[in-house]
Parts: sequence; structure tokens; C-alpha cells
Amino acid sequence: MSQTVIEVRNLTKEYKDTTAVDHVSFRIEENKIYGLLGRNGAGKTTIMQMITAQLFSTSGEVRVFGEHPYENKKVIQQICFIKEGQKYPDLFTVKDVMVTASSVYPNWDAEYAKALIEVFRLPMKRLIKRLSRGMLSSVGIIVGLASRAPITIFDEPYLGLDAVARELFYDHLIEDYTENPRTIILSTHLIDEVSRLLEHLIVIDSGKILLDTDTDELRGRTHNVIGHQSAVESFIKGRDVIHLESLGSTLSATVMGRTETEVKQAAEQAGLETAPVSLQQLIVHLTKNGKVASR
Amino acid sequence: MNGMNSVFKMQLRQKLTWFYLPWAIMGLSFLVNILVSVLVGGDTIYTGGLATIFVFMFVTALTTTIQLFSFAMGFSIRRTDFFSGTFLFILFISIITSALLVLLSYIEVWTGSWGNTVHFFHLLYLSDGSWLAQFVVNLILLVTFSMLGYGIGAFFLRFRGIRTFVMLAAVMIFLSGMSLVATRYEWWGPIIKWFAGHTALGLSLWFIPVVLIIALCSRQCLRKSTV
Repeated sequence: MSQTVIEVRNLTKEYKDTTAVDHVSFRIEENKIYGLLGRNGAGKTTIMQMITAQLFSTSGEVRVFGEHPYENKKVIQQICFIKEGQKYPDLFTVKDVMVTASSVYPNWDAEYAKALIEVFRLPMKRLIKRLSRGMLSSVGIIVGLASRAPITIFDEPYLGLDAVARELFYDHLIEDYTENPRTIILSTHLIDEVSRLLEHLIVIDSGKILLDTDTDELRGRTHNVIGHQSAVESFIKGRDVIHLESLGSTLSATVMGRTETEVKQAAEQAGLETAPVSLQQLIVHLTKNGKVASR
Repeated sequence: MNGMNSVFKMQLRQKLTWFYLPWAIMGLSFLVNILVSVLVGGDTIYTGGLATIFVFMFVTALTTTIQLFSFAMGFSIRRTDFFSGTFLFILFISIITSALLVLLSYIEVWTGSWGNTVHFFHLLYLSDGSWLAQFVVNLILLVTFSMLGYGIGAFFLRFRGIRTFVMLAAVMIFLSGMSLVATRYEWWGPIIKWFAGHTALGLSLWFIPVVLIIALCSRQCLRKSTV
């Protein structure tokens, strides 16, 4: 059992007319890569802002390394939070941002930052506000990677980045994570692209947690069961069906079992075909229905 | 220490608006005044060009507070460190600016008001007293103007647009009300007499508690601010 670095209990954030985060509880363990997934407005950013004490919760508790993060230098210096809407001062150049980051994060690796700047082809002397959208995202990515913070959070880090740069980001993330293990939380829409990176998933919808599970376990538990309509229909009776799709007399059901191998084995015994489900499809189906079951 | 240091350095990177821009504009105004004086060829002109620097301090403190706060928060800096780093920087830049102003004031006297053209840096009343008195008066005024901007910025970060507007409107109404009352009861005479009875230095000392109160309120506002 690895150590818990973030613990969130009954965290709630209410605004005048909406509840952005609704009694959310979860734990984040040390040295793992987490995916925080959900649709726009699901409450992902709000949760991360409360973890980093940028926002105040209405109720509930946040503990980071066992302490409250608010005005806690020891804690917040261990967190690097890269968010999509990060604001930069008008007069700052790329270099200024790197210098600031180096003075803030204790584990900052200047050599690595320099190498990344070359990889992402960033102009050091250009003002941040003159960067293109993709370049701006690269600045965040470089800060996040080179900070080597024990908890690094990327919230939609690659708006405007092209596919090549995104691949570069994933590769560097994995490579550096292997050499310098730390806790990484990745929040994104591009689920299939990152699915190979994520070890653990937390899926959020309308401020509530839909799913909190290991990625491999989830993959094992969930299968598409395909076969003749009547056979599939009798198979899925009493099971947890996430999605149904029919093509003529063929029916395909996305089924979530209780244990890893249960669905696959049972389906094979019933003479039905099974196919793996992509993580993206699964999340889409889950958040589309907004089903909160005892998963 | 290190968060405060980072904030200080962040402010230092804004030296264009804290330092170069106000001095450039004031310098331009100074040159234009000399030119006009030479062309007109009359008496030595008194100008209010010196006010540029104070207005700039106010505006820069206001805008950099708002801009840098959310940036600093995103870079894992504590709110209290942001407050003290910025406060220290305001003191620092005011000390430098004030020293330069004293120097220029002395040069102005030494050159006979730049060859009897303009009174720009050495003004009646404000520039009375020793170099140290002048330095302290400048310093306190610069810090006061900056802290006013800083305070409004911090209030805005805490309470956002509409309430900041209401606060400023309320202050304006209060001040206008007070001046009406002063006119109605003919207080202006005694008030002016009181001012004249004190030196610029003696008066400026009154701003120290004002600055401290604004600082305290700004700190409280920032501690409750979110991005």
C-alpha cells in the first residue's frame, strides 16, 4: 500500500445557484499517474483549485501530505499546478517565466527546462502574450515537467498543441516519470491519447464522482458483448449495462462486471463474442448517462 | 523567505512600468516645459510635471497587483508572501525614486532653475528643508500613492468589480460630503492655516499611519482572495 499524498473528504463547492462540487471524496497515492476525467463543467478544475488552496471550499476537507494547503508554504511548494487558463503578466517573456519557476520550485531542473525549450521550439525572449496558443501551452508543460514537483497537476495542458507536440509531451512525461517518480494528475478530454499513461482513473460528472478505479482493473471488468439480439438480451439481464447498440439482429452491449474476468468468462460460456472497450468510449457512455451506480 | 523573494523579483521584472516609463514621460514633460519657456522667453515657469511620477506609482501599483496576483498563485506562492514581497518592493522603488528626485531638485537649484526656465523638481513648500527632509517627504508620498493603488487592487481581488466600484463611489461621496460640510461651516480657512503652520515633513508624517492601515487591510483582503 503506497502512501496517500492527497486526501479529499466530502469536499463541496457551492455557488449562488449551482453546486460545482458535491460531496466528493477520494485519495491520491504517491508516485502514480492519475487521470481526472469528465466533461466540461464537471468540476475538475474547481477540485484541483481547492486542492491547491487557490479556491476555498464551502465544506469538506482537503489534506495534502497530511496538512491543510492554505497558506502552507511547505505544502504548496510541493505542488505544481499547470492550468489551461494560467495568466501571465504582460511584460513577462518565456525566460522570465522560467526564472520565476526556478525560484519557486525546490526541485527545479534548469538543464531539463532548457532541453525542453529546444524540443518544443520556444523563443526564449518573446513576450508570453505574443506566443501562439500552442506555444503558450508548451510553456505550461515545460514548467510542469521541469518543476519535478512531488505532485504535478496538468489541467487541460495542451490546448492548441498539434499532435506532434502532444506526442512529445506524453513521451517526455513517461520518460521523466520513470526516472523521477512523482504523483501526476492529468485532466483531459483526449482520453484515448493518454489512456496508456494513466494508472488510475477518477471520473467526475456534475460535481460527483462516477468512477474511482485502477485503469487495468476497469479494462478487465468492462467488455463489449456481441451476439444475436436474444442471446445478448438474456445475458445482460441483471448485469450492469453501460451502453447498448444494435445493428440488424446483432446486439452489442457494454457490460461492467464485478470482478476482472467475470464478464469475459461468462460471455464465452454463453457462446457470445467479446471485445475490449476503449477508455474513451467507456467514459463517454458513462458521463452521457450520468449514471452513478455502486461501481 | 523564498516566496517573498520571488514576488520581489517578479515586481522587479516590471521595471518598465515602475521606473522607465514614468521617468521617460516626466523627462519628456520636463523638456517640453523648458522648450516652451525658452520660446516664450518670459518668467520662470512653475509646472506640475512632478505629479506624473506619483500618478504612475498609483496606477502601476494597482495594475501590477491585479496582474501578478493570479500569476503568483498559479506558481505556488502564498498570499502572505505576495503581500510582503510587493510591499517591500514598493518601499524599494520609492527609495530609489525619492533619492533621484532629491538629486534633481539639488541640480535644479544649482543650475538656477535650469537657466531660469522652469521650476520642475524644486518646488515651494514641498522642497523646503534639508535633503533628508526632502527625501523623507518624497518617500512617504510615493509610498502613500503606491499603497492607495495596491489597496484598491487588493480590494478588487477580494471583492471583484461591482463592489469595488461601490466602495470607490462611497469614498468619493463621503469626501465630497465632507468638503460641502467644510464649506458650509467655513472650515477651509482654519484648515489651510493648519496646513501652512506645518512643514511638508510634519504633514507627510501623518501619512505613515494611513499607509500602515492600508497595508493591513490589503493583507487581509489578499488572504481571502481567490484566483
